[in-house]
Amino acid sequence: MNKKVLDILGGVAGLILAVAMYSAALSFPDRAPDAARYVKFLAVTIMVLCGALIVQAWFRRGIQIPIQWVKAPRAFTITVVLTLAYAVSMNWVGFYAGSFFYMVVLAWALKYRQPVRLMAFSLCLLLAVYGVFEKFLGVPVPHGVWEAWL
Amino acid sequence: MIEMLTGALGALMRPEVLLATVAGTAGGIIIGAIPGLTATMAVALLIPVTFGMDPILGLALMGGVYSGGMYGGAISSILLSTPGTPAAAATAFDGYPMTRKGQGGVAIAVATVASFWGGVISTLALLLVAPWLAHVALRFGPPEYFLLAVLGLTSIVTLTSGNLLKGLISGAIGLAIATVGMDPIGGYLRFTAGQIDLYEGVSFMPALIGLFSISQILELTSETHIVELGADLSTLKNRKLPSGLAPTIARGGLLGTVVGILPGAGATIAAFISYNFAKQLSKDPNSFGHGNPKGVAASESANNGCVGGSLVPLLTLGIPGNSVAAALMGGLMIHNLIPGPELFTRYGTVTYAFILSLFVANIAFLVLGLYFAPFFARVATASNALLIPGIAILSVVGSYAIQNSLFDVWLMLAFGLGGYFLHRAGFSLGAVVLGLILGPIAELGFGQSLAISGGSAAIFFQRPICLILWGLVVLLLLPAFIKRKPA
Repeated sequence: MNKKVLDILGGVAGLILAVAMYSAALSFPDRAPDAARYVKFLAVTIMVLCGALIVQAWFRRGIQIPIQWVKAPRAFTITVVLTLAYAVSMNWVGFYAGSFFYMVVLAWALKYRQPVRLMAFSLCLLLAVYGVFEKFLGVPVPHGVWEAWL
Repeated sequence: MIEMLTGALGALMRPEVLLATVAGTAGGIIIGAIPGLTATMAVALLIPVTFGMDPILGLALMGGVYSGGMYGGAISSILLSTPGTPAAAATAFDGYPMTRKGQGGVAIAVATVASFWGGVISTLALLLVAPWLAHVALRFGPPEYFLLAVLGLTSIVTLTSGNLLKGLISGAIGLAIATVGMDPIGGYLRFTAGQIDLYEGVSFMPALIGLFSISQILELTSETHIVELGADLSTLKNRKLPSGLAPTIARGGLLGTVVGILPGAGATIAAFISYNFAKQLSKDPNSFGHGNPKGVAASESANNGCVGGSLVPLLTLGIPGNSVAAALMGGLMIHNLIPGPELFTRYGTVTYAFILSLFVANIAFLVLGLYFAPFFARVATASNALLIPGIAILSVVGSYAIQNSLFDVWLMLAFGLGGYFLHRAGFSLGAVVLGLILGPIAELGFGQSLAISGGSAAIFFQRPICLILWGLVVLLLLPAFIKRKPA
């Protein structure tokens, strides 16, 4: 996908968003005129800007360079997948166990090959989080299956 | 006043008070540097701790946390492009590019000195002209607040380095996201999809962490280190400040003080407006966003300028300028110090000792910041394979800690992924953040103004302060359009 196509598609997506916002504002009850007025104002602004973006892209001339979405696909995919898995599993595995596992696996997958430093860094980071967040601020991070043990 | 100041100075010089101020400042720096932890949180937690303390000791501790917390946000913003506090978001625009060039130490030193002077300017204003400034702030009504938001939004033009239309759309997207939740006038629920977590709107901190931190670590996956290849690493230790920063710092400090006085406006807006001014008044505006130290100085002097500014309406009128000031109000009241004129007469010694302790806090973070700058800067030389999961874990726990909610973690990740692709597509994340910050202020000011005027937009052009603000908007926009090269 090149920049011209991207801008046109982006403009169309923005127009769809603006129309959706405007239609939603029309359905707001009469008792909320301020809520509807501001949303309509924003929707029209987005419509005008996106329309202008489409026109600008449409008449753009010259060589169109393809957009590079991801520079290192392997590292990017691993990071995204592991981060999402980390967030999903946190409620079950618990924050500390999940974070330790995530830290070690992701760093290793990103080709960090100093196991002692990696373990030390992970433990220090989690100790710092425990001290500041859990002990000082009393943030009840999820403990998951370890809840009964703690 | 001189008598009370002398008494206050004597009380402040007690070793335990000095120690409490320095300890509070150091703690504040750590809390400010961790994304998701705010000075408000720390001050609120300290209130019960200070209950049994001598009032001067307790207030000095909380003042130190406030000053240190405001400064600490710059450290992670500069080194990792992960603002520790929302007020440090604008610092990342030039601070992080400086780190990439191997100038992280210099950037932190600039931020430290700028924060120091910003803090000193605002504390001087608090000490000398607080009652007068508080009455000026009371003349700000809904139309003025709306125009202040418009003034902030003009920064979009400055923040956009490529296609201006995309910058404006980014800002509009931020404003649109800010409409989620209860409308600020009538309380009608909009775009929440029945999700209770969205009733109060999109939580700002997770959005900020996602847009700046997660999108940034996804960018880092293609590199081995934050510091670019070929960068001169010897500059990590170099603490020599670039010349010509004084006017930028002075302007930022004054601007921060003025904006800080306005209840609800806050340090984030001040930092963006100051950054905008610095860029527009610069002879080389194109260097902003690519590691210009003036960008760091402008935003940092302004956000620390808000510290003293936000205490002006608090101490004189009992109106807290922002959330930290609101928490501090609790700290004052727990010691039976009711904000108002009596604070400067009957309880003058305690109040002036508290104000003077802010100077001590500024000196403390100046010394700590300058001494530790090269050590902090070494973070940028660590392997990205370690930094990426480390930053992600801090982002997750930081987002979670705001409301103890996993929903905020998902919100943060969604903003991170969305922000990454928006950035790649040429949209401005800074403009999205600006829209998110200014959306609620703009909507409230807009709605209330029209309610006052019976629907007439003339209200935005009739009041003297409104006309001054319009003048500033034009002043900031004109040069941007004249200098702008075609995209």
